[in-house]
Amino acid sequence: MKRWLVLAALVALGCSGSTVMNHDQLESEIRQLHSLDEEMALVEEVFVTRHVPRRIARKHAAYLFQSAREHGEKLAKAQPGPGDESALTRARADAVRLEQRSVALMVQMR
Amino acid sequence: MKKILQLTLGIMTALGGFVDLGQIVFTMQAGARFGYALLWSIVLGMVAIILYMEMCGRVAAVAQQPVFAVVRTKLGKRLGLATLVGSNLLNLITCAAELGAVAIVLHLLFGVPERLALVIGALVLGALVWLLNFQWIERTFGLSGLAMIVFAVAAWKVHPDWGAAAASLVPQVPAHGGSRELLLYAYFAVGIFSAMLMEYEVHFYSSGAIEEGWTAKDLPENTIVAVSGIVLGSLLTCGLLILGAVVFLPRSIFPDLLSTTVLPVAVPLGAIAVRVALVGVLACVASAAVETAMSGGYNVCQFFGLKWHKNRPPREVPFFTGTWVAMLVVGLVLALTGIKPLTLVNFSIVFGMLIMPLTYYPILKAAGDRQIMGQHVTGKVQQMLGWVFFGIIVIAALAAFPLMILTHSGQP
Repeated sequence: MKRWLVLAALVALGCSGSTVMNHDQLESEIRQLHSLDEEMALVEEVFVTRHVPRRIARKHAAYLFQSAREHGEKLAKAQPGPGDESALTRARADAVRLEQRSVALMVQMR
Repeated sequence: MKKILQLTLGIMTALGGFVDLGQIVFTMQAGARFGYALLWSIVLGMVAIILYMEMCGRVAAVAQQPVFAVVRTKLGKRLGLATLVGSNLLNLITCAAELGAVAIVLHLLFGVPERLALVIGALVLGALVWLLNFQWIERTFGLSGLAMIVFAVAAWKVHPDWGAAAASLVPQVPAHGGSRELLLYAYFAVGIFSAMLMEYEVHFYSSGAIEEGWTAKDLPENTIVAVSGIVLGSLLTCGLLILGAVVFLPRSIFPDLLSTTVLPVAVPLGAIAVRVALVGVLACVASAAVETAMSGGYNVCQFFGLKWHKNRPPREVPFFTGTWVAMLVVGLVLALTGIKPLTLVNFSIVFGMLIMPLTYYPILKAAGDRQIMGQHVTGKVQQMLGWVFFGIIVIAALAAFPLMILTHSGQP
């Protein structure tokens, strides 16, 4: 009985999802943040040259904001893997910066 | 002259209705990640869907048997029923994803709140299916989907490296990156192949052949429409991948939002083209939502031998009408839960590949059965090609789910 309980506890722990973000996951998050950053630059560029209608650009910026926020929340909950402490801290700061940048983008397109 | 006009209309409708959310997202992401390197998987998918669609159309025209009637005969009741359940679950997930995409595009175009847009979109689509006959449903969505051509024009205008694009028609293993890069490459190859082969399109086409009363006399039209419509649709899909490669790859952008996919059109063509692109995307995703809902109805009725026909009054075909309405309503509810359309479509593409062998195999067998098809039985070369592609489909089906897990659904 005890053996089964230990097994059940291990399965439950496995299914609960560890908050530790491994190196590959962190790298993937960093790449996605970089992609968001570049996309905001592209939106600014095409908006300045009047390639994107104002409302569409503003709504798109809102989606970018939502995406940056989701990444930020995921990173805020994550625990760093061994040796990834500073990279995670930088990624969190980047996510916050991107949230702010997307808000600025929305304001710019009003 | 009338015949030529009819054929042109058929080809344009097939072209306009060919692209859906999965293709838009997967091909653009593949271009953004691997440049032109995965163009070959579009060509592979194109040949597979031409073979499948031509066989389905031929079996429907000659034997008057739509896909799920054949599935029941060839797979037996038990496995056939499992295929029906899987197929309709796939239709439901895809329908929810496409409805979610309809809401996003309406939000972008008119600023309507997304949830309201979702409800309005589903109601309007439901009303259109209720009111229009089959031919007009096909034409309305297919022809409005032609606005997607703006993506192909944009791909031309961004001056791609045609030499590199042509070289990518032959499969190549990525030169750089480790095993993760290789897995991602394989995931996108399978994903594009699967997105090209979404089975609801073929089931809709096969049912349409019976709705329109095709007979053996219409077989040339079947071949011309299947081949031309799909080749042109595939060129459009190549355009999406090229845009990802030219506009997104150099900037390291991975398009993870539906609204991102219209940005590359803005770069060479400007503001009006962005609106046209959004209208094209709206037509494609709305068309896919309608086709998945109707395919759900067709599949159930064809499997159980119940009456079905869009062109008959709803009271004469209550199960068919009830099923497509239920598909649309459950799809709407699923979309209203807030699951992102791109998450759903990722899942539907992988799940679609798993189901594919179970519907492809019965059609391949039926089309090659002289007792059913008589003189219109599949020729030797086509039959051999059909089996080769069945092998490829089985391999892709076995690889799809593990690749999804290993790559975290293709996250960069």
